[in-house]
Amino acid sequence: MPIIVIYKYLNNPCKQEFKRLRYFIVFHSKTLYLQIVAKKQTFICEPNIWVDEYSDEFFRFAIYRVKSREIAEDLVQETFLAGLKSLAKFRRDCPEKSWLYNILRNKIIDYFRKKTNQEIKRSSAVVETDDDSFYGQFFKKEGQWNNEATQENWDISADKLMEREEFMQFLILCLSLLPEKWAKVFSMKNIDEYSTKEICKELEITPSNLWTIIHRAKLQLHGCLEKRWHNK
Amino acid sequence: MKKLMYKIMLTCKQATFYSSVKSFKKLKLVHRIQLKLHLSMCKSCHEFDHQNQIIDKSMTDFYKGKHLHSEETLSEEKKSQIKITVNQYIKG
Repeated sequence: MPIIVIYKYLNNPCKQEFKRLRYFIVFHSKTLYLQIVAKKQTFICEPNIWVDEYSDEFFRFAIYRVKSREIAEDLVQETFLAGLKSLAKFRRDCPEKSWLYNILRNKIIDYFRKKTNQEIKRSSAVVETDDDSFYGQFFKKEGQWNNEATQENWDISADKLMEREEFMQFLILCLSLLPEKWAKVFSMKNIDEYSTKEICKELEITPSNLWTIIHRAKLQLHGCLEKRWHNK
Repeated sequence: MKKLMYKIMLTCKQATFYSSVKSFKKLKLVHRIQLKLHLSMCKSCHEFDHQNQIIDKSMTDFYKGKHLHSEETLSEEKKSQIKITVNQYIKG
């Protein structure tokens, strides 16, 4: 007797919230179907308490990244307003806090994107060029590094918090310089914990495309951090 | 012999590829060994791999919102101002 397992899950922005699953066993024409359905949870959402509950935490999150009181304050306010505006779109399938965090994170990256655009007017922003000219920046034709000296020891460890904080700033700056699609791959992987299959499906690319994007993004991040952070 | 060597050894470009993709998918055993072999010999790529780990870790920290030790809080003034704006938006 064949057994078929059907997974059904809601396409949910915060999958780590899934802990409760429901199982159904269904008999149908000599086949046993085992249906696993994620139980839909609805979360309450009260804009009235947002400011009291979350503003300090959000502020700390923002100030650690943008290093300016005024801008962090503005970002927190903008987050709440953007949340109110898109309240109708909020599907209530995850806690409001993680939803608001997502908005704030996007605001921070937007802020850096705007700032760098003003500073350098996209001069060093990455465009999606073809393979040869992109890899030509880093490698010779035979596949060796262009410049052996480019890869220096960064010498930073997790416990040096001050240095890490600074490093983090430059990392976000460099992330904001990547094309949006590239940066999205990392956010999908880290926040939503998407599997690579789901990432490919969402962005409508093939797996080998995804690997190339990751490779290029990493190379670009290295180059950018090398230039801005290490050799400042 | 030379041909065989070329087959086994990765170029730096390939090595950086495997090193970057490694955090997203589990590499095949062959590739893992090839990468290890290359990293043990090529200083630049070894450094690249090390930096990759730093970047990955920091990126996860950024997205997950860790390292919030500071005691900074929003000023009461600004808080009440945000409250007013939010309340206005809810009513109007």
